[in-house]
Formats: sequence, C-alpha cells, structure tokens
Amino acid sequence: MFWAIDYLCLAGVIVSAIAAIRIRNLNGAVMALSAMGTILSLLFIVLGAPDDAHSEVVVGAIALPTLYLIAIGKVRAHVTDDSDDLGEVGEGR
Amino acid sequence: MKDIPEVVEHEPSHRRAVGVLMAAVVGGLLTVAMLALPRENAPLPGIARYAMSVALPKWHTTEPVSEVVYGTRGFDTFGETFLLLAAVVGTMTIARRREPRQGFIGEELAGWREQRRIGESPAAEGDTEAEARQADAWEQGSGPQSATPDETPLGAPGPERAAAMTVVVRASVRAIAPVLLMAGLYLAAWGYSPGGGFPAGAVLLGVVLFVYVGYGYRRVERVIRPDVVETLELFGALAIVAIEVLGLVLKGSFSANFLPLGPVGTIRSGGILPAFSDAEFIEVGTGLTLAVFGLLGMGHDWSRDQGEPAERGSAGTDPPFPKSGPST
Amino acid sequence: MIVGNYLAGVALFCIGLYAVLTKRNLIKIVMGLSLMEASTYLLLLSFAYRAHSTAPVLLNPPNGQSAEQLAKGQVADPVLQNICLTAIVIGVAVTGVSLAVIVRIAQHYRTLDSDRVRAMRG
Repeated sequence: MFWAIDYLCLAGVIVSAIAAIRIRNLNGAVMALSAMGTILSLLFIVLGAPDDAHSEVVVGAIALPTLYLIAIGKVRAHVTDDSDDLGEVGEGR
Repeated sequence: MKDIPEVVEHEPSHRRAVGVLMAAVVGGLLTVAMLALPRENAPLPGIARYAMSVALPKWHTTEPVSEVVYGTRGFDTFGETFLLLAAVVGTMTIARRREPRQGFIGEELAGWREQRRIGESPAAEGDTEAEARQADAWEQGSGPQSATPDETPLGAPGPERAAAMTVVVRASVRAIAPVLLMAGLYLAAWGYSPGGGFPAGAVLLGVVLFVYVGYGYRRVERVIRPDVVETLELFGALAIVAIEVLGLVLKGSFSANFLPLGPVGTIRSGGILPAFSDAEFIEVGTGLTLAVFGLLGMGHDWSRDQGEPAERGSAGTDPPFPKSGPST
Repeated sequence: MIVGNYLAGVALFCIGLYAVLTKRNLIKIVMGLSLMEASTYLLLLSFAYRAHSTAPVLLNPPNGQSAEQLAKGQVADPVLQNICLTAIVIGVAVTGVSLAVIVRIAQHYRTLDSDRVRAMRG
C-alpha cells in the first residue's frame, strides 16, 4: 500500500513536470509547476519528512507561483494605443 | 500599431537535438550512479543516530529535525537564513525605482502629484514620453480606479481596474486570513512539533498577499511600509546573530544552548531552538514580503541616466529628457 | 523499491535540464531550474527514507513505542531532511532574484527570447 501511494505521487510529479515544460501559456505552466510542488509535498509526507512537507507545500503553493505570476505580469505589460474600445484591449492583461 | 516587438508567446526553442542528447547522457550517467546507491534497508548513518539519541536528553525536544536544523547544525541554518537575506536585498536592489519613495506601488502617481504640488510643472514632454508615462500609469493600475468592482459602472470599457475585489472575495478573505495566520504562528511557536521558522514566514507572506489581493494596496499600505518591514527583517537577522554569538560567549561553542531547557512537551522546551526558529520566522516572513512587493512595485523607469545620448532611434528606449537637468 | 524514487528524481532532473537547454523563453528556463531543484529535494528525501520507518518525530510515537525506543529504532534520517530544508529555502531565494533580473531584461530589450536578447546586447 505504501509503495502504491509512493509511485502514484511520483507519476503525478513527473506528469506535472512535463506539463510545466510543454504548456505554451506561461500562466498554465506556472500552475503546473505549483501542482508539481504540491504533489511533491504529499510525497514528502509519505516518505516520512513532515518538516520538508511543510516547507515544500508552502513554497510550492504560495511563494513560487506568486513570484512567477508577478514576473509574467510585469513582463507582459503591453503598451496599447486605443483604450476606448469595449473590453477587447489587446492581449495586454 | 507601434512596432514594439510582441512579447514572445509561442514556444520558441532551439538546439532541440542537442538538448535531448545532453539530457539523455546525463540521465544515463545518473541512473548508473543511482543504481549503485544504498537502498532503504541500509543502517542509519552515525550522525543521524547521534542526532536521534541526543534530541531528548540534551535538548528536551521531541523533534530531532528541529534540533538538527536549529541546534547541532545551527551554523548551516544561520548561513542559509543570511543567504535568503542577501537574495531579498538583491531583489530589492534590482527592483528599486530611481527616486527613493515611501511605498511600493503607485509611486508614479505620488511623484506626479508631488511635482504638481511643488508647482514645477514637468517640462515640455515630448509626445513619446507623455504616451509612455500614460501607458506605464495604465499598466501600473494607477489610472482611474474605483474602490471595488461593485462600484464600476456596468459595461465600463476596458479590463477590470478596481483596487479591491468583489464582496464575495473580501468576505472570504476576512474569514480565512486569521485562520491562516494562526496556522503560521503555530508552525513557528511549537518548537517540539514539525514545522519551523521558514514555513511560518512563507505562510505570513500568504496572509499579507491574501489581504493585498482582496482589499487592494491602500489597505495594506499602512502595514507594510518598506522602512518598517526592513527594520523588522534586520531585527530578526540581528536576533539570530545574537542567539548564535551568545552561545559562543556563554557556552564556548557557536550555536550552543545557553537558555534553560523547559519540560519536554511545552513551548519552552529546547532552549534556543524555539528562539532561533522565531527569529527566523520574523526574518523570513518580512524578507519574502519585501521581495514580493518589491517585484510588484517594479515599474519602467522613464528618466534617463546622466550623459546618455538624448535621442536613440529604436522604439523601446527612454524618450528624450528635458534639458532642465534631472530632477533626482 | 526505493530505486523508483531515485529514477524518478533522475527523470525530473533530465526534464529540467532539457527545458533549460532548449527553451528560448527566459521564464521557461527559470522553470527548468526550479524543476532541477525539485529533483534534488526528491532525491535527498528518498535517500533519507528507511524501510518500515516513521518520521523522526518523538512526539507520542506510533504503536506504543516510547520515545527512547523510537530514537533507537528505524527512523528516517533527520540530517538529510535538514539539508533538504536548506535546499528548499535556497531554491526560493535563487528563483526570486533570477525573476527580478528577467523582468529588467524584458523591460530593457522588450523581448523574452534569449536568442534575441543575446543578439541585441551591446
């Protein structure tokens, strides 16, 4: 039973890692990376490391995605010309 | 449409074959190495046996990992915490604006209002600078802003520009933030159970972000003023140095325990362990908040360095600066 | 059976290495770095695992053992877990600084494509 959970979490980590690489949309990739961090934290609990599980779930779910999403938001800021059209402002936001 | 190059969205990649080959070679070597490593039935190494056996008698703590992190290998955690401090200082330095300002976000507006008040009207701005400033203001979100989305008129053009979020989010944030804060404080306070300074600090960051996202920057601005948070962070760093050096002074070795050991299962058990963990909690919590809000307040700096040529052809660079000398 | 963890750690490392080598988008390169760091966490804690062991926590140990018995019994290795804790903290620090640098690069060169950034430099 232990090894079933262990290998299930490993598969989840590998799949979300590949997803984080292959997804084109940057925000989606950040979400996949956050999913990998969270599943990795579950794996740490299974492996008997509660301290690291605390740190990894906090880093994987709060710290890293926040930093990545802010960076993507700052990078993607478009200089759009006409802001009076209804709603479909360029791909800026 | 200006010829500003589109930020690359599709998936450019280069040297794919070399990448696959390199990854495969490294993978092969590592696999050979991993197969030769001791498996899970190997005996515990001596240092682990020592850490386990010394946890209860010498430190009165039931958490050997915290004892290893903050006690026996306290020097390693000391270095790691100061590395995080250096990273936060690095991020703040990269993300800082030209003029030192009070807050993190909306400095453009503050500067513009201040110049308006002093009466020195910004000199004749070229059209590119005016447009760039307007775009930057719009991008920073300091354009026309209503307090909450409920107040923006129906069908208002353009993306959502309200500072705070709808009443649903605000109500749930009011319910969840204290619980999360309590969980964070529990992680740092209870030295004899798993968890320590670092996860508690990151949870503190989560709580601050919750309130910032839910209620907008105005509500959080009074709490996280850069000067207050920076002094708090360095106070945490100073506390760590004090704990370690006092161990050296009083007990002769760098991170030795000089505090009285409380009974086993209580908050005071473990001597300097909870003290070190709380100091790290203060430093990591404020440090991560500084780094995230420094990154958030990172705007494009339109004013020019001294001596840069006034006019540069390509669209993306700073527009010409009025000759009346920089207003730094 | 723990070999599966080791091999998964190696696979994660290779995915991260592949991403760093072949992606041109700067943020994807930093994500590759994050993956490589995550593989080190996984490997460190797989080394720390011992068969039929519990977490190295002496707070009311399971199935009736006393704290002293557990301290002598089969437990996961606390020292490696401390090293992994340090690695996680450093991972956050490095990612924060590199993302701040990337935003400055993107603001200056108006592009995230590492090839064009190298071409425009100077």
